[in-house]
Amino acid sequence: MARGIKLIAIATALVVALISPAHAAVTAKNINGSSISIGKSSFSKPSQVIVTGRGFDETVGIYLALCVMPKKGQLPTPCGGGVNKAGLGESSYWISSNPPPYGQSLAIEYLPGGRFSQKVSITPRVGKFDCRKVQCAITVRADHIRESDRSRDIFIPIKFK
Amino acid sequence: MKKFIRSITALGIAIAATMAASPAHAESFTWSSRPFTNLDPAGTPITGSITNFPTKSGLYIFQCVKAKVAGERPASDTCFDLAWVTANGGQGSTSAKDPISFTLKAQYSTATKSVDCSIEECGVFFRYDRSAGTDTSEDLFKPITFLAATTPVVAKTADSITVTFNGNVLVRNVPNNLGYRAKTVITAVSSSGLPVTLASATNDCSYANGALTALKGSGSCRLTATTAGNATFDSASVGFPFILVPGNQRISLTAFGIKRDSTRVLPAATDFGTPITYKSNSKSCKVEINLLMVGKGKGCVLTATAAGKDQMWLPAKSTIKVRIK
Repeated sequence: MARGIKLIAIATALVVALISPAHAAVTAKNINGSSISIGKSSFSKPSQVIVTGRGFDETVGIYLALCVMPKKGQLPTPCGGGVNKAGLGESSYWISSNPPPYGQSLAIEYLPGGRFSQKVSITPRVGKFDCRKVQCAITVRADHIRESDRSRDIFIPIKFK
Repeated sequence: MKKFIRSITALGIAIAATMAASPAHAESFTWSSRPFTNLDPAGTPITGSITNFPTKSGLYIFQCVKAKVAGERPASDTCFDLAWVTANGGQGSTSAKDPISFTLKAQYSTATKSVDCSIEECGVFFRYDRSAGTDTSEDLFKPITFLAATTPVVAKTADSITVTFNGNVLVRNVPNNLGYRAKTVITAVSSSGLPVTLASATNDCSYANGALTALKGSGSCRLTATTAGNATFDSASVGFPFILVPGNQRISLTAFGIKRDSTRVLPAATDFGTPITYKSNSKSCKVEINLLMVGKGKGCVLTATAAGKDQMWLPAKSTIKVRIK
């Protein structure tokens, strides 16, 4: 391999390393093998973060939102944007490949393989709760069709400085 | 001794008489429901069950006109499909363990005939399904009768629905294979011209915008097509089963040319999100994760592989020719 190529490769590796600092990315998994990842989990001001999901069961719809972290086994609530059955805003997303008829134009389909990538607004407050005082988290939970199914829950705690 | 011979002879005669009086192939299962007599001509819902369900194959249940020749099956063009029952259900059939429901009407239409059971002698006809289509050992014809209609039954024209799947006409209750995330085109028309509503009746598939999508690579799905009916036409409903099979993921990289002493970022994952692993057959090309580094030479061949996922999709493998310019 030419010396030039080696230099290019090293340079590329360095650029990649600088662009995506490995120490900041956060991933959370659940018992079903699905996971969500974000680039960083610590914020000093309202921001938007890209949340990528992998390995989800495409037959089960989910909500993706910033929520107040619930007690273990409890339904995550309140969440930014509520359950967002209207499909509006960036506080929460309804991701489902087989929503009921009323949801067909509202829900976002999973990508093949049970994946998604959505930009979620991170705000210091969720309703009347202050995420600087209570623990908030990027949250995935089963949609309202399986509201009590806690096996789908995934949390990435968010820290506001 | 003579007494013993007389007893044996009498027993033999009794057995022969019993055999002559019974059909040669009496069915082994038992159907239980309300009697098929004095039915409402406008439609009587029937819910029944089958015990001693045969092990050889499933059963079709039809409403038919009685065969003109004793011992023969009813003419299929007089038969209206009521239910398909299998031992454990699946592929769009009703499980023999579950209640079996259908509606008997005095007047009905088949693909080619209109039948009036207040005039014709009709019945509910049970027979083996297509897996043992020529076996008549489980054939059972149970006659049905309707009450005299107090008001004239206004016979609407039966509507029929034709559904195609990737250009092929689907046949009711005959399953087709459907791969996970395979591209499909579904079309539907009704003989009445009324709009046809298509839907996935099962959670493992979704129907939207003319496409049926399998969300899993195993199990089964059912596509339903319905028309609402109007003053002239009856409503119609038909279901089509699909067997889900693992899908084919794609590595979206084909042969390409590249300048020597340069690099190129190759696709990191298949269209299903599975990471792709690359190997080169030559020292002219080297791949680190998904970064191709090319030196000198005429070219190389890359082998790209991606793992499968159990009951979802198959492994993928692709060879890509790289020309070094």
